[in-house]
This record gives sequence, structure tokens and C-alpha cells, in this order.
Amino acid sequence: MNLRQRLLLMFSLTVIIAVAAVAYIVSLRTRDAFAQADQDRTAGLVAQFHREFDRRGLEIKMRLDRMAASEEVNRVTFDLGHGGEASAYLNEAGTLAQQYGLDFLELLNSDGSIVSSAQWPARFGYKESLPDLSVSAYLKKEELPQGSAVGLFAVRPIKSGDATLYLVGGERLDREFLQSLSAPEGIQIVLYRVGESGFQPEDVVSMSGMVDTPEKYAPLIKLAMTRRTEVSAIVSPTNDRKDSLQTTAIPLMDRSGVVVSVLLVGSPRRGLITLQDHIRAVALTVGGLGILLAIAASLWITGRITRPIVELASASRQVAAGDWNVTVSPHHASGEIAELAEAFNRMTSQLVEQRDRLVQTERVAAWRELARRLAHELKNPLFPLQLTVENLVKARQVLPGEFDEIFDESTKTLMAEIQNLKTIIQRFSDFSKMPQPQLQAVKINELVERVASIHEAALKNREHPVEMRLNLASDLPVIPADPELLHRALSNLVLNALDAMPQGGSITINTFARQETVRIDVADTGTGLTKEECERLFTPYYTTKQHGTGLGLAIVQSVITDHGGSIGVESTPGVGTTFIIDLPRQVAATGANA
Amino acid sequence: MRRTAFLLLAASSVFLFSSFANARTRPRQGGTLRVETQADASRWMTSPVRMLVFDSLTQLDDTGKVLPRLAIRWDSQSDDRRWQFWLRPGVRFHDGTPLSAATIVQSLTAQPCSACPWGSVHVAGEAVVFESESPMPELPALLANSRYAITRRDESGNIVGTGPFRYATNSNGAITLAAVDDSWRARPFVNAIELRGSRSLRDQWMDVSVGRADVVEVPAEWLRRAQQEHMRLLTSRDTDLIAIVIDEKDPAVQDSRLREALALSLDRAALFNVVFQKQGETTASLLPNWLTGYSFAFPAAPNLARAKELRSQVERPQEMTLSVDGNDPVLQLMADRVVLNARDAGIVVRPLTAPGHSTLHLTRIHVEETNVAAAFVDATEQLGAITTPPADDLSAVFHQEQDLLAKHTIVPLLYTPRAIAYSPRAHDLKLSSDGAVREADFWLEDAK
Repeated sequence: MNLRQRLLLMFSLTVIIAVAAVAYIVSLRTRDAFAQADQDRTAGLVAQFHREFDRRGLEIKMRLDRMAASEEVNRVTFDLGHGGEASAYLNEAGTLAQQYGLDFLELLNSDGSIVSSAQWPARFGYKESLPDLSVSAYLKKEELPQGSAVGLFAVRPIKSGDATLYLVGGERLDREFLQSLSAPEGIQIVLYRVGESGFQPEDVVSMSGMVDTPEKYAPLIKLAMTRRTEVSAIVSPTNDRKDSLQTTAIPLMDRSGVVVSVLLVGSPRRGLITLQDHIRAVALTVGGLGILLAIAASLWITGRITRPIVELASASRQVAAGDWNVTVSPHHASGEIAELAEAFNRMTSQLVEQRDRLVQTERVAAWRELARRLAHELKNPLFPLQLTVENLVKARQVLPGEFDEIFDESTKTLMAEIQNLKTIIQRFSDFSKMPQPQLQAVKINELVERVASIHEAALKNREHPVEMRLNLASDLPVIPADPELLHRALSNLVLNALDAMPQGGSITINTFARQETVRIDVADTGTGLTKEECERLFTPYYTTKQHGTGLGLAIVQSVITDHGGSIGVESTPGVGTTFIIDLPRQVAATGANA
Repeated sequence: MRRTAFLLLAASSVFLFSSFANARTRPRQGGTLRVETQADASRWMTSPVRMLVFDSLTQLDDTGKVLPRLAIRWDSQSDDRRWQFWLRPGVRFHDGTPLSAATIVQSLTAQPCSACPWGSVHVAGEAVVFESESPMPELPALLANSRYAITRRDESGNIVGTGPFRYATNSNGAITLAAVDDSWRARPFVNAIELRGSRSLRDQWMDVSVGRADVVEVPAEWLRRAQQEHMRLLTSRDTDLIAIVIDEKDPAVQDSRLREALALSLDRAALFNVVFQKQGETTASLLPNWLTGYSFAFPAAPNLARAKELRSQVERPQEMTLSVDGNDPVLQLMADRVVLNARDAGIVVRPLTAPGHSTLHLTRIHVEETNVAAAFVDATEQLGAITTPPADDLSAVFHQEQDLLAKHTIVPLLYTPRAIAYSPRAHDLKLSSDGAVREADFWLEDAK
């Protein structure tokens, strides 16, 4: 990731985080405000529900009082109190309940046995737990032939003699009850009756009747029943998020603390969601604009900062490639970037100066070395020439009769030495005029085998024979190369190896196919080289041999590099030396000409 | 002398008093008997007075003895597989058509009769012949049933019979049955019977109390109240059986232990004491005790412990459903009680609110027959039980009933009587043992 991208990312993140934080905080505050309003509204409704609950309870109680004072009930009470048969009043509760507008009514004997039941007439004779008279009104789940219902109940005892008749009347907690709560517009009030067989959709009723998607309330209802306290959650009756309700579930318990019903008060979240959507839209707009601004700012800033840096990087790459004459212009850069550019330019100019000095030094050193080698090379044939000439002079003076014979002999010697001098000079000339490789498709393995076969006789006919081993890869590709130059280079290496093994040994030539090159290893088991010798081995005129020109390996390196390849050496003194040649599979663009 | 004169005076006084008394209770001719029912008047053929319009081939007396009616004698052949009935001569239908073997065959074959005990019925000279592949020892008794009353359609399409009253008019929700002057059973005292339908029980009782009706219905469950209100009542024998029919093919009750558990959980006494106010009798038998005398051999008391034990032997039984006949509120109340009783034994029964197939069906059947074997055949036919007709022998009927009830596919609960209340102006009204008015010798006090 470059600086421009980093700056862009940083600016964008800054803008996004800032806008998101503001949007979140505003949204949170809004939600809190709405939640508080919902809470207040729900609390009001719950209080209203409890008031309605008490009012209804009182009303039921009053109706039971009126019923207790009626002639019919007095007759029943008197009859039952004086040994009358309860069976005569089987339908009494139904008639009375209808007359006094009650959903539930049971007449209970002193022992709690049902004399008459309006809601389930067939339950005559069954026993009910005697109601607690200290409670004014209470909730109760009433068993019915077709399931059960939850009702608000009140009790009115009537004494007759020693017996007591209990009037247990109630009203069903149903849609009508919910409608009586007169909830504000938009508030959804739902009542769930706890059934016998888990959550059943038909047990959920709202003020308008059945609830469309009652199962949406199921988790909240279960939570309220489990915790036995008010719980709140968001309920989404439809797929539209705006139809969701902030719903509070209030468990309603009977006298024994069993949850018999759950009241759900749902406050619409449409206003809140609309506002949140608006805030989100504004935040997104501001964020988007911020990001665009960040892009522009980052482009401007990076234009000022990164352009010189990019130029510096490019110049550095050129320097690395060997072009030390490159310089960068600081343009409009200032401060550290300008200083950096100036430092870079200073550095390259110093590098160029140092390189020039080094080249000069090396050139001098090379000339010195050349002079030394030339002196050394030329000195050897010159000495016999001098001796021969001196012998000729002395023979003419001392042995004039034998002069001709000596002259002929000396002439031969002189010619031989002169020839020697010519050879030396030719070598130097050859080195200076190394030809460019003429590339053609070459099978390296065949080339290696040819080199090995040429030297085979020489290797065996030595005093201490040298064994030639070839490990040639079968999958070696054909590469573009000059076979003659390569042959010469490899022969040089084989001859070098022979020189390194006066006591015999082995030469191993390995070939490998590598990803982009073909490798040729030429290893000997000779005396080996020191690290310093390895470093200078390819320097022209450097030799470790007593009678070498120091041009052999220089020529080898020249041939290999002219092929676009590389040559290296690994050696361990006393163990042997390995020359490693890598030749490219393809002709490099800047490589040798075909 | 004085003693003789005193005796003569006393004897003449007794004669005069008895003459006066006879004059006051002597039947009077004329008038209209006003009958009210809850059902629509057009359904008069199910009313208690239907057998005043129609006759059957035979009739049963209170002891179950078969007496002649339209048939004057009968004979069986081939081990009761073939019966021949000779007809009463001179009998005519209300439209003047003479009663003949052909009209009887036509009447008995007018409607498809899958439950009829005979296989075929045809004319043989002046006689009617019934044939069946299996013996029909109780056929003469069964033919007394009102289901087999002889009827035909006149040219106007009205149904006519041979009884002392004939269908006359239908107007303003009331049916009028007019007396037949030349009835073979002699002319009735009253001129007509007016049958008003769609009257609630409360209205009927009000009408009879204020003299607007002469005969009103009294259901068994209201009998005690009627008695407490000192109404004039005519009550039949216990002829209506309330029973639960269990569909043994239903997977919920295929295990007989569940059926038995259900039967043992039922508290018949509570139904008898509370719902029916101790009218009728609890029963675990198909036939009423007054008819067989062996009802006690079928224990009717609940055994909740055993019911629970049987129920616990069945793993995860399915829910049963329970339906009742029509919209009978009493049966509905009983059904609710059955649900409660079953629940006490751990059996879940759900009452059906809409018509449909149910595991259990609470039904009320009317058994007219006073002949044990015929009553058994009639009852089992109505309850849909497949049995072979028993020999006309109490012991055979008992064993057959025992075998049938041991399967727990029919659970008898109660036998109840039929009753009517009548006004003070109606005299000599008689209710036959099956709860119908069969004799037309009643009269009205204020008839002119």
C-alpha cells in the first residue's frame, strides 16, 4: 500500500469514524428519548390496566352483592341451608350469570363443591378450592369444556344457617376487556392466555381481535413467563421494520403466583425508525462527501509529498541498475523532502566521483598488473634470447670453427623463443578481441559429452590418471548458445581442473534444468582454493599456477556473461573446487545477439 | 220395617249418586285436543299422537304379548325364516283405498330398509309374506314398532293411514288431524287434534297452565319440576336409552383397555341425580330393568381406581373425540360430564362442536318394544351394533347382551321415561308403555 492509498484510507476512516460517531450518538440519544417516552407510555398503560382491573373487580363484586340480595339467590341459599338438594339448581348459575352480565359464575357449597356452574354446567359436584375472601378481585385461569380462559374474579359469601353459599363470579379477560383500556392511538395491546399445551397462536388476542402474526410475540411471552417480571423487547409483526413495536410483556399471575396471562403493550417505533433513517441518510451523505473530500485532500497532499519520493525511488532503482549519473529535482518540494532530494543528488554525485576514482585506481592497478604480467611473461623468453645471443657472440670469438653449428642451434633457439613471445602476445591479443557468441540451438549434454571425450585420452594417459564423471539431466532443454565458445570455456575449466589435480582424482560434470536457466557444474577433487583466491579467480591475469597467463578463467567468465549467464566458484581447500555455470534458457532482451 | 225403609233409602241414594257421577264422567263427543311440541308441526309424524293416524300389523301389550292390529293372525315356517300374516278385513285407508296385502307390501317397501329384520316381503294371496335367510322369531313383535306403521300417499301426495285420525290441514304452523268417522277402531270422541309446533317448553307449560293447550311435552329432566308444580302427568316406562357408542375402529380406542377404562370412569349416578333429577334409572344394560329384570347384573357404579389402572397400562393414548345427537342440550351437558369423568381417569376426550366423525358418540334411542328379544334387536340396530337376532328367550338375550357389552363398544348410561302433561279438560288420555298415545278414546270435558 503506497502513501497515497494510506493517506486516502486514513482520511476516509477519520471522516467515516467521525460521522458514524456523531450519527451513533445522535441516534442513541434519540432512541433513549423515544425509549423513555415509550416507557412512560407503557407505565401509564400498565397503571391504567391495573386501575381498570380494580374497577372491574369492584364492579363484579357489586354485581355479586346485588345477586346475593336477589330473591332467587336467597331462595337457593335458604333451600340449600335447610337440606335442599343441590341438584335442583343445576342451571341456576347460568340463569344468574346471564341476568347479571357475568361471563363466569359458580355457586359453591360450604365444602367448595360446585352446585351450579355457568361456564361449565357439567362440573356440578366437583370441588373447587374455597376462595380467599380477603382478596377483592383476583385473576384465575378457568377450565372450560373447550380449553380454558382467564378471568377476573370476585367472591361473595352468603350465610344461611350453618351453611355458606359462595358466589364466585367473573369476567373474561378478552378483547372487550382490552378495548376498555382506551389505549392511545397506535398503541398495540395484546393479551396472551397461558394454555395447557404450550404457546398456541389462537391464545393471543388484540383489541381488534385475533393477531395476524402471533408467533412473533412468542419469544417475549416465554421470557416474561420465565422471569415472572416485566420484560421489554422489539417485536416486528411484519417484515417492514417500521411496523416494529417496542413491546413490554407484563405477566399476570393468579392468587398462587402462577402466570395465567401475559399482557403485551406495544408502542410503535415508526417515528423513531423514520428519524433514525433520516439521521442515517444525513450521516451517509456527510460521510460520502467527507470521503470525496478526503480523496481530493489525499490526492493533493500526496501530489506534493509522494511525487518527489516516487522520483527518488525511481532514481534509486536507476542507481541500483548502475546509472549513477541520475539526479532528482526537488520541484516544489520543501522541507525534509527537498533535503532528501538534495542528499540523494549529493550521494549520487559522490558515488560517481568515487567510482571514477576507483576505476582510475583499478585501471592503474590493471596496468600495473598487466605490466607485471607482461614483464614476467616476456622476461622468461627474453632471458634465453639474451643467453643465446651472448653465446653466439662468445662462440664467434672463442670457437669460430664451431660458430656455424652453434649459430644454427642458437638460431633455432632464438626462433623458438621468439615464437614463444609471439604466442604470449597472441594470447593477450585474443583476450582483447573476444568474439561475440553466435547463438544457435545447443544441447548442453551433447556439448559436455564432446568436451569429456576430447579430454578422455589426456586424462587417462597421465602419470596419475583423472577420472571423468558425467551426471547429465535427461530433461535438459535446448538453449540458445555458441557451441564453440562454450566448448572452449568448458575445456578451459577441465584443463584448470587437471592442473589442480597433479596427484590424480576425478572431474565431475553435472547438468541440471532450473526454472529459468540450465546449470553446469564442473567439480574437481583437487587442492582447492582459499576464499581470497576464489574472489580474485576471474580477474584477468590473475593465476594461482606457476605458468599461467591468468586469462583462462577470465575468458571463461567473458564467454558465460556474453551468453547472459553467470559463473561462480565454490571451493574448499584440500577437498576440491566446483565451478557453477548458469545459462539462460531464453535469450535475454539485452543479451547476446543471435 | 224402619230398618228396611232405611236400607231402601240408602240404596236409592247410592244409585242416584252413582247415576250423577256416571253422568259427570261420561265421555263427551266433540272438541279439539290441542297438542304442543318443541319440534316443527310438519314433523308431526314423530309426535306422541302419530299412532292415532297409523296402525301397524301388530301391537304389544304392556307384558310384551303380541296382539293383532291390522293383521289378525300369523304363522311361521322354516324355523321362523318365513312368516305369513293374514289381514283384517274391511279396513280402509283415509283416502278410501281398501287395505290389502299389496298396499302393505307397498308401504313396507316404499323406503329402503337396511335395518329391517326381513329379507323380502311379498304378497301371497290375501296374506303378506316375510322371508329371511336367518330366523326371525321376534318378527311379529318387531312389526308392532311405529317404524313399520302402514302408510300410503293419497292422490294429493298427503300421507294417509288407517288410524282413527287423518291428516287434514296445515296452517299457521299448526297441523290438524281430523277424526275418521268410519274408522275400523271406532270413531274417536274428539273431532280433531290440533298440533302446534315450535313451542318452547316454557311456553308449552304456560299454555297448559292457562288452558291454551291440552297436551304438552315434559322431558325426563323436567319431570321433577313438573311434579313439584303439580302438573297432570302421564309417564311412560323407561323407554329412552342414553348411551355412548364407541367406534372401535378409531385408533384412539382400538385398545379395549381404554374403552373399558372410559366405561369405568363414568359416574352415572351424578347424571341420574342431578341432570335427570332422579327420573329414570342408571343402567349399564342395553334394555331397561322393568323389561328384563337383569340390569343389576351389569354393574353401573364407577370404578375410578380400576379405570386409572387400565389407562396407565396404555402408553400415550391418542385424544378421543365426542359428539352428540343433534343439538340436544341435555346430551351436550352429559357429554361435558363424560369429558370430566374421563379426565379424572387420565383419558383426554375432546367434545366436538361441529358435526363430524368422532371416537365416541353420545346418543339417545327410543326402544318401543315390550318384547325382550324384539327390544334387543331394535336397540342394537339403532346403536349400529351387529348381532345375530337372539332366540325369544330371556336367557339367550342376556347372554347375547353380555357378549356385546363385554366389547365395551356400547356404554349404556341411563334409561329415562317419556312424559306428557295434560290439561284438566282432557280425560282418559293414556300413554302406552313406549310413551305414545295409541288409543283414541280420550275426550274433552268442555266439548259441546
